Amino acid sequence: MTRVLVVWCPDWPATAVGVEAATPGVVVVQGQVAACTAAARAEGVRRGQRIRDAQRRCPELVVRERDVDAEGRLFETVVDAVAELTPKVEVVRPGLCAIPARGPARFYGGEEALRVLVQDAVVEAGFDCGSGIADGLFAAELAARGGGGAVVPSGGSAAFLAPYPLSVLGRPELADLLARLGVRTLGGFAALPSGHVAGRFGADGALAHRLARGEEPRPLAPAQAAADLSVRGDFDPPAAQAEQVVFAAKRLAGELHEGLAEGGLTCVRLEVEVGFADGRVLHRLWRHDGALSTLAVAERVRWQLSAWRDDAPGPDEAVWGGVCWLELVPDQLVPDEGRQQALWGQAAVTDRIARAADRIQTLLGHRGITRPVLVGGRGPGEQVVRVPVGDLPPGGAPGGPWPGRVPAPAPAAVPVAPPSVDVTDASGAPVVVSARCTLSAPPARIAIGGGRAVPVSAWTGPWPADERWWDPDRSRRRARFQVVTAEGAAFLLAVEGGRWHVEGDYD
Amino acid sequence: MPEAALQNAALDAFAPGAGSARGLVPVLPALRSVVPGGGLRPGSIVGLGGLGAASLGLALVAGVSRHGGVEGTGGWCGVVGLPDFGVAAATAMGAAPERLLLVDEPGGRWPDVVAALAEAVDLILVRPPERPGATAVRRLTALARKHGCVLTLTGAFARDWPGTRLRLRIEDVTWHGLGHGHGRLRGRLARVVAEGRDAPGTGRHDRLWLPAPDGAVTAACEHVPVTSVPKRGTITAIPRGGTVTAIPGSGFAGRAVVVGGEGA
Repeated sequence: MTRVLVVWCPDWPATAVGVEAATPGVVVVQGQVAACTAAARAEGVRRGQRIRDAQRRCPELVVRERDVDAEGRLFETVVDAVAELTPKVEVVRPGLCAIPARGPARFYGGEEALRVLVQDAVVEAGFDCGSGIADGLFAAELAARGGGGAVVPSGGSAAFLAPYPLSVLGRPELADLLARLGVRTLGGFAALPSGHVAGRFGADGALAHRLARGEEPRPLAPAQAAADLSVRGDFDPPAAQAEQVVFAAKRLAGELHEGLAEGGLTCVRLEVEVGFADGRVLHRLWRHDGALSTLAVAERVRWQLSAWRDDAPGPDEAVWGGVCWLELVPDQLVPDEGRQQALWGQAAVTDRIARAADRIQTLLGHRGITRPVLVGGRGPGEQVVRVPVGDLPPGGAPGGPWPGRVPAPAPAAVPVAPPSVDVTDASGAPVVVSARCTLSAPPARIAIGGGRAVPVSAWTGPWPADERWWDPDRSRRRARFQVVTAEGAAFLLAVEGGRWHVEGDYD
Repeated sequence: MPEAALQNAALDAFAPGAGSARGLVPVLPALRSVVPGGGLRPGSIVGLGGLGAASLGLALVAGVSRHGGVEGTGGWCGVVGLPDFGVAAATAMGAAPERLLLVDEPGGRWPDVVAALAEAVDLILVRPPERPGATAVRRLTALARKHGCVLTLTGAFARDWPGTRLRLRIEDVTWHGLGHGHGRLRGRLARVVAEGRDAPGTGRHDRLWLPAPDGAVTAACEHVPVTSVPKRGTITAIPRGGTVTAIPGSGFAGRAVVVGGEGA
């Protein structure tokens, strides 16, 4: 068993968006609490709650959207602090990094001394953290989380893990099932015969069982990679834009995967090395739970580069030499056990599409080409989010009843910058909607964008929508109308603050 | 979307892929009667114009997205220069949003963007931001023909593209469902007209719901049309005494409101 030291920064998503641990704050994804600060937790806020519930428990709550890029970027600071002491740092995920403990422990005079040293280094860098040493990553992470950190003696992982509840395995379905079978702690789960666990719960259950017994999640893979599977891309002339490097990373990751697939292997750890024109080399190890997809690789390269650029003096006009080469080195190879592809849907981005998207992104930048994702919302413009090709789409289904949403059919054109409209009644006076949603007079003519006035042949409304009244920055009150003109055009109009504009065009 | 999808699937069962069999780029089943041959010729140029151009664009994208690709499993579409593209409406017509590529602001690089997409997708809907130059027209027409990608042009400069063999437009438009101060838009009954060298003579036309009340595109005969203007009711308030007062001119159709009436 390898001795592993884990540095764990509590509530990292909250730290990354600049919420102090002492202020009650939450980081939300899709209206649910993804992480909260210690102060918020003391008030009863928990992960998975809806914002509304969290705010009921703690009215002065600071709410922020989750920023995954910022998490990765800021964590580089922590990693740098740890790397000052010992060079081989693995980033398990933003907020959690690991180092092999055996060598440094000898150097610094014992495991406890190393643990305290690393913890102090991170705290000096300005971040709260816990650190723990144990056999294997899983036990070390739990040791780091428990009350500021601990050292679990060699061979003592199973006894250390035994009292923990099953929820720490991060497999809610398995934990739920085991709880109904009367097994409530890791110790109880570890006591089950492993053959039966594998038979009943499959490969993933067997893996969880190994974790619970304090063993490595996978049996050691003795086979060494025969060939050098690392891939390298050179840039001539040096790439001056991060985007260029990220695209190359995507392609290289594809090559890397092909090489690995030929050997029937997959890597759990990936070393990314970036060489700059001035001779500097930036390298970092990334760890991932499953196989790192090409997108995930590209994302990590982007984090690495953006973290570097933040350090650079005067990031705008900095002569940053450009990137000369990029190398991806697979580390910790394990046999590929295969994964089940989704049976339905899952439109796979084919090579042709990916190539075209790459070319357009080099022309127009990363956000130049997008794929639409339907999300919930009332207005036609709010129901669609455009996600740049290569980025992960926001999770969650567009469920929810959305009372007051504009009924089907949806408008064929949704202007990005809604043009203004002059709506006048039969006498030529502007139509006004009062605070109580009464209309001054039926609309008789509309003139879009200062154009020609067109008679209205049919209309309906007002449909009031008073949205996000609890949030002073984003709240808005509007009333919607549907209007058909004498020329056969139909519009979704909205009046907000006394001004009319076209929200949708049923062209 | 599911309803539209089911409906389209049912239609397919009875009229198996009229387009794909002959190597044509498929259109929505309802449009097969209008488009010559029941599908778009690969590599051809289609022009959209006038009222309803946006909906026709959505319908063509939806047709490819739903019925195109290898063995009709769904094709990819590119949309260039239309930041106002109604994704929700396209989805209701049957498009799969995960197979759409949107380039909202191509600026002056639009010919390069279209050229890159032409190799990859089955249909490109493009609104040129400027009058297309002769070089761009030649290059893109040749690329589209080479890769079998249908180039659909919309916007102010769509008519300036030489070699457009098919133009689609709608006329004789009736919107259903809206009254004076009540109702809601249900659908639009319109005659879709195909003209050009591929549809010689006076062209082909058919009356369609574009869109139907559920957002799909269907033939006009398939739906019991909703009444053009819904009957307007009056609100009847019954005060405590039991006297009935009608309030004409309030916007609630055919619904009785009871004010504290125990005898109601």
